[in-house]
Amino acid sequence: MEGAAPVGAGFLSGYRVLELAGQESLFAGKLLADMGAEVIKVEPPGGDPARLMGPMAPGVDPVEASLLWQAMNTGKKSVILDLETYKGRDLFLELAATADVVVEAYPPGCLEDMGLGYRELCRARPELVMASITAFGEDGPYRDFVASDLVIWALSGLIYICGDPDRPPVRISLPQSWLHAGADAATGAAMALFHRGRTGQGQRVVVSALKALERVAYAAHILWDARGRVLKRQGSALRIPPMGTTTPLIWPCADGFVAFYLFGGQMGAVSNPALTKWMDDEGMGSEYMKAMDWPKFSIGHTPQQEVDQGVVEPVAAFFAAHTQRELWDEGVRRRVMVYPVNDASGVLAEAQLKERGFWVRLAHPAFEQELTLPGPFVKTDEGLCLVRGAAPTLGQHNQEILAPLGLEGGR
Amino acid sequence: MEKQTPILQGVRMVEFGWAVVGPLTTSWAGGFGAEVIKVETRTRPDIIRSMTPFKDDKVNLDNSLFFGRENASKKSIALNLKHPQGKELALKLVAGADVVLDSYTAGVMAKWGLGYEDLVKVRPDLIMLSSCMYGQTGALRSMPGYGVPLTAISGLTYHCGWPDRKPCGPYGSYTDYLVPRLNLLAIVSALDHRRRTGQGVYLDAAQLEASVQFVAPALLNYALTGRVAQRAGNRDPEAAPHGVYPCAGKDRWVAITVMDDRQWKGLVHAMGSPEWALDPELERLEGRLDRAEELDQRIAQWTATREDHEVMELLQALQVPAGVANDGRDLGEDPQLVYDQYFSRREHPVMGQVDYAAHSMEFSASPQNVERSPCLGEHTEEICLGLLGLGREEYQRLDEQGVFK
Repeated sequence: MEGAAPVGAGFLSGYRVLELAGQESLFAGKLLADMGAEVIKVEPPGGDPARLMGPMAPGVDPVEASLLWQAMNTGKKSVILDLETYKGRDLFLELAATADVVVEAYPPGCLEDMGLGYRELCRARPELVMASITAFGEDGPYRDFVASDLVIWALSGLIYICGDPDRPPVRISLPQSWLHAGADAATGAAMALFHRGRTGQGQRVVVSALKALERVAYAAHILWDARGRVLKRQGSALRIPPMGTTTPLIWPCADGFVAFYLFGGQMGAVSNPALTKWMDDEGMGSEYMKAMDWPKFSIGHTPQQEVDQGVVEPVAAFFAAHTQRELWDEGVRRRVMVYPVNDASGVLAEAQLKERGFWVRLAHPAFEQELTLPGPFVKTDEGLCLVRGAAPTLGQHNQEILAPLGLEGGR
Repeated sequence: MEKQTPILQGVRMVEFGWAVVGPLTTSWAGGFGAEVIKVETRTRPDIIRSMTPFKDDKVNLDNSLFFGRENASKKSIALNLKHPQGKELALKLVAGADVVLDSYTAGVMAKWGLGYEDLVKVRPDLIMLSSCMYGQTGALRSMPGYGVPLTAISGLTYHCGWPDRKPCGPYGSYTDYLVPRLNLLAIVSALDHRRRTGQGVYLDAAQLEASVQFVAPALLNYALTGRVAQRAGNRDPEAAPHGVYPCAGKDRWVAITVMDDRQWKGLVHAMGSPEWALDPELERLEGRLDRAEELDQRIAQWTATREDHEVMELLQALQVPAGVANDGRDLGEDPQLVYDQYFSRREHPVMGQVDYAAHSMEFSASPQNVERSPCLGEHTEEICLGLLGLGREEYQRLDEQGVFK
């Protein structure tokens, strides 16, 4: 297993990864596949439960229709093994004997109860690397807590600082926890492979989604540690001491929203005069803004009403008169830091991503149209990280993977 | 098992980073044993050295907890790269390094004579990762930026907030905390690739291209069906009830999510089986989704008089996903994070005792050691006299010329 990587393949070519069922493991396996590993999704009869998670494509075989599934399983293979049966577990152990990595997200202790814990797997494959994705760790007071994306947002401290002050704390509506944790699990697997290559020793890495999300809530704990203050959610506004003058961060425009931070002092020394001129060029200038010595502009020392009437209202009117694309494209040209708050259509329209040939289009037998998906998260001239193909159909690789072992699927 | 050798022991990384993405990537590597040398300068200090919060509100370049949190487990050398001798010393550092990371706008390193083409001459099997906003090519390659707008451009901001209001976006620079995970994955994969092939590599890591991975299903959905995903508060299209509910006390909240019919039974039981909750229509997801608004109000009434931890423990005992919305004070006392020793209290020469956070992963046979962050240029002399082999006189001469500013 430890030979040279095949030429022209990927960073992790030559490694075989087994990914057990569950939505939590999807992204870790996908990233390892992008990196060139052979990633085999081990699915129960009927398919991974994640195949039933929306959004669903209409008019497609329900077992292949999940677009979450299609997005998170590119480049993998699929075999069916029923780990609920003795036979299925025996087959899995034989498959594990050929593997370098197992990625899993079973509740702590569950695989051990099934006779498939790390120790048992190491009997089949002594140098095995195992990457376990957990909500709260494999030990400790929350070990047996049941989790969901929202619950992890809550306990991590992230949700408390997100949202409008007059409403409950709020998450991103597209689940994120398992993506952060999955990226870390892929990293842990790659690090353990590096270690194994240098020492011959396999090991287990356990990722905690709770810790992964606490990282994202970066400002909460340090504000308490530094000053004994609790960080509160501020919504899409910035409140600046000492007067507490508040300015918007998200502004409506003609066809959606844009993000623009009204900075004072040096931080706004480029954007603010450029925006003032741009507004004036289009006959929407503000006398207050034209008269401003921007490097000396201190929002926190200016009364709310003065900032509102002199800057916020004219800028809001200017943004409202333009589309997102107009503001973004012309803003780039004039060095005004105004950015689109993209929805899905806006992301796909980004010229920079098109120019870099970022998007991949994949054919899948269950779909009439090609599937458009993000390309690799990192680029190399050698193509060492690539999105390598569509997600597998259920059991697509039973024959290819199991036959060489003298096995057949555990249906 | 005794955990002895850190995984990245013997790997040297030189960081030309600023703000969060570059520094956090290498800080994590440092925690797993890499020798990380951050190249910085007083002539234009790393911006987060000047960002709040400062210990006891005292503003100086070595007193920001924000800088500290993202720069644990590394050394700092002060080098003025605009000085020819500063550049020479940087090249010498790179000649002895395995990995170089830069997080400047495309073209900045090359302008200093430290682009990949320059560096690979002194270190032929170098692994270099450049992490800028939009990538090393394309019309936006030289556009500066930071994590807050990138969160908007990537499609994340739009999906955070309430359907009846403008988006609020997640707190701060969200993408700054997903990009380093993928950067580190790329670096360690490249290290293993080099171990197996002897080849170094240049990695063009566009932060935008990493960030949009986190909204991929919504992008595919739009491209395929034309449906544009919308923010939904805390609702979920496949679960109800699913929300964050008020508890007793000031601004206290608990997240409760009923992901299946069995969990609904658990929640009903926990609430004392009130009459309204026994409606058979609510036993199925469809019925609960139809009445999600009503459920949110009923559950909020139930939680409002109870302590957040009481609700969490009661529901978790019945296998219903529930969690307290921890605030910045709670995190340091969270039983699980305390059990895991997630925060390491370290003595910093300027800040005094402060906490550092660990990476989310722990290995069974290899340690993670989170060390305190460096003061600006704290290791300049040590690195120059040691690793770079300068004599003391030469070091002093260069110091007088302003090379170590």
